[in-house]
Amino acid sequence: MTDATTDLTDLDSRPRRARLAWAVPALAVVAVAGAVTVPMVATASPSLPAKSAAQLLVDVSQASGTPLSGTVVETARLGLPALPEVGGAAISPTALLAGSHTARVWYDGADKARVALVGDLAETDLVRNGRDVWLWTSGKNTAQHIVLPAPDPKKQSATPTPSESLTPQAAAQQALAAVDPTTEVRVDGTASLAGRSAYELVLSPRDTRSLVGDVRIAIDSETSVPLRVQVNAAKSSGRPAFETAFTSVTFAKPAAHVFRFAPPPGAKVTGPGTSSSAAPEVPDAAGTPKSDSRPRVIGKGWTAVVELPGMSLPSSGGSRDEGSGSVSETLGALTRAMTPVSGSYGSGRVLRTKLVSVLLLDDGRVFVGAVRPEVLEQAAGS
Amino acid sequence: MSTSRFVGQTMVGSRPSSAAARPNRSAELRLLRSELRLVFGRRRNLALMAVLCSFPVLIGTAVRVSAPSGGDGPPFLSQVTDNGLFLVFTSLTVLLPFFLPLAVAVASGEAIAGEANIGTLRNLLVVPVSRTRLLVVKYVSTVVFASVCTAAVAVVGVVVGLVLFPHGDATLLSGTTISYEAALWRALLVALYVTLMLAGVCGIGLFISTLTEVPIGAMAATAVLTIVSQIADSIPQIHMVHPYLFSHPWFNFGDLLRSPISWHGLQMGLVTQVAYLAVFLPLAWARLQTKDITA
Repeated sequence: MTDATTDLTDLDSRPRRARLAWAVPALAVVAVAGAVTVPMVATASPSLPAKSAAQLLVDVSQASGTPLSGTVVETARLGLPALPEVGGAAISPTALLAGSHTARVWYDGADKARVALVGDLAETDLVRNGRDVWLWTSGKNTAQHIVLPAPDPKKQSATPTPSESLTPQAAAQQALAAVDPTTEVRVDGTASLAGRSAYELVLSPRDTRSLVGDVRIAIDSETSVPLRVQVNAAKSSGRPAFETAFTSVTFAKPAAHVFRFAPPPGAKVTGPGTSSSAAPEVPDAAGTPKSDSRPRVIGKGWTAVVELPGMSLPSSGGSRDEGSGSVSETLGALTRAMTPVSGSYGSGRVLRTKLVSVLLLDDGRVFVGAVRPEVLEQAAGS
Repeated sequence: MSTSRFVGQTMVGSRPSSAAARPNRSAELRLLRSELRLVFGRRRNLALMAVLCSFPVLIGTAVRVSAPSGGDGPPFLSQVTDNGLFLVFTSLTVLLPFFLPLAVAVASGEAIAGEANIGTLRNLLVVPVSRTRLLVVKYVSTVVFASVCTAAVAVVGVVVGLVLFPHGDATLLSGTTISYEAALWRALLVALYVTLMLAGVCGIGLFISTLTEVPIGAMAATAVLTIVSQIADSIPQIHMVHPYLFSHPWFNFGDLLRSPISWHGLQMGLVTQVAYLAVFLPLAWARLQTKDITA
């Protein structure tokens, strides 16, 4: 410990002392930098007993219903323009198309689940407890209540039939054989994430016109719960174009109160008991006219194209009514990122992202698919 | 101002021989006490605290006069009419980006540079207290100032909330309702978390303060750094550096208002501040050790 007086008298030793003193913060910087980088590097793939794709599928099908709670981070790198995000006030589903988002999830069997989309000083909760489903949006102070129809006893007894005639093993084999012409399914090594070790199941399309390079699903080695889904673009930039993964997970039964939701006093509640005028907010929010024309699927497998008839884009991001402000703003931002095209099918605009292409025709038809824009134009011309 | 420090000096230095012989604990405590008296006696610090405390009053009165509609305004604002306790959260949310860090920057920028500027740093070092301990005392006193500022805002928020608004159950971000007492505990935790976030700013400010003999320069630099960090945090193109910015976890205090509490974000906040302090406090120490104190 240096004393003030010695500091001033020991003038000879000052340069060495000075160097020694600066070594302390230098060491601190190295230690902090090390602590930051080491966890990033230390992700060696664990060694696990080998499993076939069929075995993994069997395990996954038997694992559904495993109670768990954890944190999921979703990241989309579709190459879209940065979409306007309306602060923390309203975490809209369209915001999930770009950037990274965090959700806390709780799951306890098929009829109890809660997903909390976490924003800065805001939260959107989807809570299911039995037949009651609540959608709570903290920013708007609204709670939407949906009561699911009672489970049909006939239907329930009907579902197990296929698996009665087939062992899970055989069912998995059959499923693999069914997808084989279009998809290559294999187990590709192991991964470690959220502090657990997992198998990596890889599905890659055989059709090269697909924008999807492969889909990688990390399956927990103990519980066989899928822990991560990554979708890599065909022209991969090294990082997955879409990824959703647990950053932490525990396989314990969540406390019952997690699934209990009662709308707080003062909240705007919409649902079965209240007037239905305000309830279905989402379907016509984007300005979609209510027409009974249904989406049509052209082609099949990975290169299937969906035709949505009768959509019209908002002219220039101007919101039509208050509720749809963020949605039409998002669409406006997308419109500006499109390139005009024309052909035998007419003319329109194309939006190309790493994973999905969208063709909007001036006559109102919309074609969407995980394919190159040429395939969309072909589908439009047919 | 220099006279009060001088009085403090003479008090501490009056018995140099006996104080040097004994462990320096008592000298240190006396130094801390005189330092705190100095910090809380400074008119500019008191003025800053008054400004901070005026915010809950201002927001409360404004909301009382005209209730906000829908989700307008800062977070929690629309909930203030239902529960006055939310005045605390609204005020802290409004003050945390600028005014609270500014108050901390003023206090920590002054710490070493202010003494050097008026020539009292030399006097201080005659006291049988090493430069290391002097730095610790300076750091502790600025953190105490930061905690008092935060606590003052919270207490004024609670009181104004009780006076102007109903105080019933509180609705958390997750839509769950908890009792007023439970919500008070959460408010205390929020204030504690905000203080710990400001403790990081204190460390950075203290280091900058050792670099110069112009206190206003150290204050401005610290305040500017907190703003630069927040601007960088709002630019999506550089999102890879966001987790390493010291201002990034500030608003994670919202995680205390979820049900159940989400500890991960709060942990990250504490780890970030500890990492910054682990770098900036040794830097400040090395700078003070090697500094030629001429004035």
